[in-house]
Amino acid sequence: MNYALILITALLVVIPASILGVFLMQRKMVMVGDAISHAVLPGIVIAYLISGQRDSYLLLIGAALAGVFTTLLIDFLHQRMRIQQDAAIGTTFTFLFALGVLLISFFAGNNVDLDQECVLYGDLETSFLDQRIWNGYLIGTGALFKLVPLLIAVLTTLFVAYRPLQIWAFNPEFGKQMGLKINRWQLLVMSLVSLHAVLSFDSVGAIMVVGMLIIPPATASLMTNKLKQLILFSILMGCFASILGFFAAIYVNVSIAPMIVLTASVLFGFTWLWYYLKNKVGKKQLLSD
Amino acid sequence: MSSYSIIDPTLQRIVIGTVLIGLSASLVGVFSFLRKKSLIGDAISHAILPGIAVAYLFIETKNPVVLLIGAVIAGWLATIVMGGLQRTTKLKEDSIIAIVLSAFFALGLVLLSWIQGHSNGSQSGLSDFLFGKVAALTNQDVYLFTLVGAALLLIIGIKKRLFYYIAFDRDYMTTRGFSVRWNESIVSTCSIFAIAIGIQAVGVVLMSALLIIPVASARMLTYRLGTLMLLTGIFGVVSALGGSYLSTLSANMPTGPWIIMVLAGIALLSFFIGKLRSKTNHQKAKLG
Repeated sequence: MNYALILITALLVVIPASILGVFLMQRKMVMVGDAISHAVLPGIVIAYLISGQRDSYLLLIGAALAGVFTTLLIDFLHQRMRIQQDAAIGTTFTFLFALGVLLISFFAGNNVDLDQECVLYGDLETSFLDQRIWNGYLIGTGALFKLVPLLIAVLTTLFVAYRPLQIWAFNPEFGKQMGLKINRWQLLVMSLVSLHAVLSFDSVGAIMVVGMLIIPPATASLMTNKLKQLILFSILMGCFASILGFFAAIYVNVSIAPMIVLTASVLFGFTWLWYYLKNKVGKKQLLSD
Repeated sequence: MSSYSIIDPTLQRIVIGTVLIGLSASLVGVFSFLRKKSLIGDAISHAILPGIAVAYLFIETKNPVVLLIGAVIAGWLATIVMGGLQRTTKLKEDSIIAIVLSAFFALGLVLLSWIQGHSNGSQSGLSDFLFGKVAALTNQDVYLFTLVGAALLLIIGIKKRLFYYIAFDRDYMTTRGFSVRWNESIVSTCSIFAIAIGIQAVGVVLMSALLIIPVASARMLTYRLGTLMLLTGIFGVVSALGGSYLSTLSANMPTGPWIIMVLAGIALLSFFIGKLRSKTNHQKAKLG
């Protein structure tokens, strides 16, 4: 039962990440996603220090603000301070992440809930301890109560706004000429990304999120280039990697979140090999024809 | 802590170590910055973690030479994988960086948690590499840093013009008959070494800041390569020293985040100075 709860939590982190990652990858904004997932740390720590607990709406607000602040800061550095894009991203997320780590080490003496380790690994292993009982029945865990609404939000956005998101992802110029408010769609996706970073922080930490955002979509992009299939394959890849990684982690007794990302990378490696060989054979056939 | 004197050997060691780290990392960062590929440094610094974990796992000492070799091999592997992905797939550059970064870092974390679960006792020092700790520098470390740092500075000093031209106009240098690929691999090897020695002070997670922020700040003040490198070096050294000093003020503080705080201050200051100077220049131009 506990294993099932952990596995469901892992799947609920990976599925929205695989969907959002497809769009980030198309827009070349993966590193912005990485920056956001680092930068929510100070927001989480400050909200935690104010409210004194890990599950509060203040936490959500604080961290979501940090996510939006990140994108604004990157834009500010890029446009006002004239720092080139890559350096602007690097400056922003290292600064905010360092701020978060410092805040943690300042206040680490006072509490044991939040430490440097959980920033890195997350607490997937203990996520089942926070159980919610209603009328004597187990109805979920704290992590599930946060991640299920997130999944619903991401899926709703995907189904309702599939066309505009598709246009934004592949041809924003065309969208602009059609009168689409491209920036708003971009803001919507980025706020979903930062919500995801916040809500999955407890489970997988701040750094492994980027692996879950990019590796399943990248694997899928080696197999197909149609958006619907891309999203579908990405989700399947993410789920497969989570299940495999989860049992591997239990078997060798290591931290679960990094193991899931590692499994996803290994699957990516195999897919890359298959893609390479397919292309090589294809080229040879082309030459012999 | 306040009773340090100038001749205190611990302090001397820490000062020399941090100066070397700040200088070599910030100067190496100049060329990847000019090529607009700063984030590759981020991928490499994350990718070094499994190298260190493996070196530590097999040799079971914290001998700096062994750790350096492990780190450099991991960094090279990451660079090779990035190059391979770039050549054989249609993935975009930021995706490639994120894939390599997270894949290698996940491997490193898995190894780290495996070490913590299986070996007994004294592996705690390994987590110093995550956020940095200059207080953990040993004499051996400093000898090694001096060697590596001097070699890096020598290479940069000799080839800086060439690297600079390649960063700005690859195609022209190719037609002139320079081997661009060879020189670029020298640059990336230099960054791997600089990152590998730098993680002692800054940690793998935040190492890219020391490669990016000094040169980004210096770039706001000047356009000339010589001045740029001079300012970058000064910023690197000042931040490394300042951050190490600030981190010793209270017990159990990681060094890396403090170094980045100092760097952020420098960046802000350079921004204002740059703004001020461009304003006065405009006025001069109007008058003249």
